Amino acid sequence: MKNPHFDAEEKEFQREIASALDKVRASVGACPHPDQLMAAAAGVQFQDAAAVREHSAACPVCQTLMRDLSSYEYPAVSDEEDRRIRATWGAATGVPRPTPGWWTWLWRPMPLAAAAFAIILVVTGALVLRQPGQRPDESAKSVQPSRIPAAAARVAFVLEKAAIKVPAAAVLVYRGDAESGKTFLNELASALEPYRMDNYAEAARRLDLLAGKYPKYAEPHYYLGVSRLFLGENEPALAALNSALPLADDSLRDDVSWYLAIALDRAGRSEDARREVEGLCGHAGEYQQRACASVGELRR
Amino acid sequence: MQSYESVYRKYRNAVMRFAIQCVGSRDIAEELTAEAFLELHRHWETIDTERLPSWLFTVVKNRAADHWRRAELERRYFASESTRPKQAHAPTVGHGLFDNEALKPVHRICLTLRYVHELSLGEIAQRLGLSEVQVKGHLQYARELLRKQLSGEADR
Repeated sequence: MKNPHFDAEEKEFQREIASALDKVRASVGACPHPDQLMAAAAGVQFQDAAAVREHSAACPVCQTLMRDLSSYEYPAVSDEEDRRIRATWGAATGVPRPTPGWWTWLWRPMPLAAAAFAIILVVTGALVLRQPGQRPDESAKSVQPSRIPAAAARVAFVLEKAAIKVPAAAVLVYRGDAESGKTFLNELASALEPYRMDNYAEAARRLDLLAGKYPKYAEPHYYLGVSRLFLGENEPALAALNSALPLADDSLRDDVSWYLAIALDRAGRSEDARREVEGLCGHAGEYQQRACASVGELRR
Repeated sequence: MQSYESVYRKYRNAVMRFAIQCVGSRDIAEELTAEAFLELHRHWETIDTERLPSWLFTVVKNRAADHWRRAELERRYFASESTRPKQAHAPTVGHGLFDNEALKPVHRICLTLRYVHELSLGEIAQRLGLSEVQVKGHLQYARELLRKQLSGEADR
């Protein structure tokens, strides 16, 4: 303990809650430090991570704290933090970022003259060195290094955040057919809250629990799979999306299939990914266009 | 093709948030965020941008693991000098102490960190990105609310 300084009012409060505190004390073992708790939940590997996870699975106090801290809206990166983060690149790479806008140089005579001279030099050099009969695109290739690998050149087969859709269970609830679906929908909405805020680690944690609780609904498995993809956890993503596929109804099947293809590709199963994408390309739907474009990208 | 600047702007907050979850301290999270984007800068020529932001999260996660490894070494070193802080474990409190519908998550966080984990106001403030005055305010509000709850229960 840091034995922090408690003022008189806090000491009084501690006395007031002492009996209630004693009443609710439970013997689930000592709670780990909150930083360790959150790190373990985020999937960071450290010495006591397994023990911390085991404790937090059984401790309601830690679960509440984890839930609250995960949903807590931390202030965005401040201007000061932003400056320091950018300075790190500048110091390490010698490339100051951001570079000032080009227009700031226009009113400076010396750089303007230097730039004009450089342009003249480059144009003259290009005219002198250019081989007769060389095609313009070849000369462009020689000037611009091929810096984009095949996968990076993909424009269709890319991971983008899946939109949150109205689950099939909602339709039943609206029809009044499934009262229990309301509970599921409420819990799904809560689990998707961190997903909405790009907090994929917490979303995965919550959706994992929900998928265990409602194994026959596709949505928890599906959004769990997408969250895992964003966390770079390809095999668990694949498992979740494989679970979602047979459960998905018509409104969700193509979505699951698309992200399953991405997971397969990332897990090194490009042939399976291509087959999945070909299936999407073969029928009309939200993903048809992208899928057809992706087939070619996956063949490269 | 996205520019480095646009990628940074798009993902900096998500990466920072993830880093805070991985290490707790906002200062260290900032370092991890900077390192992740520095790595991205170094590999920008070859990076497969479709693997973002998971690539950045993975860098943060690996750096966080290094951080915890160092922290463990430091803890062992200090433990060997018999000055190991008792901070490693807090007293366990059962469920229900801070359960109150009027309390917001930030109130429960402040209460738990202060009275269960016994963190200082400064530590709580730093962790949550708040000022000490704000933390004090949250604690004051939460204490008052719980006092009313406790006195209400006592009257029954």
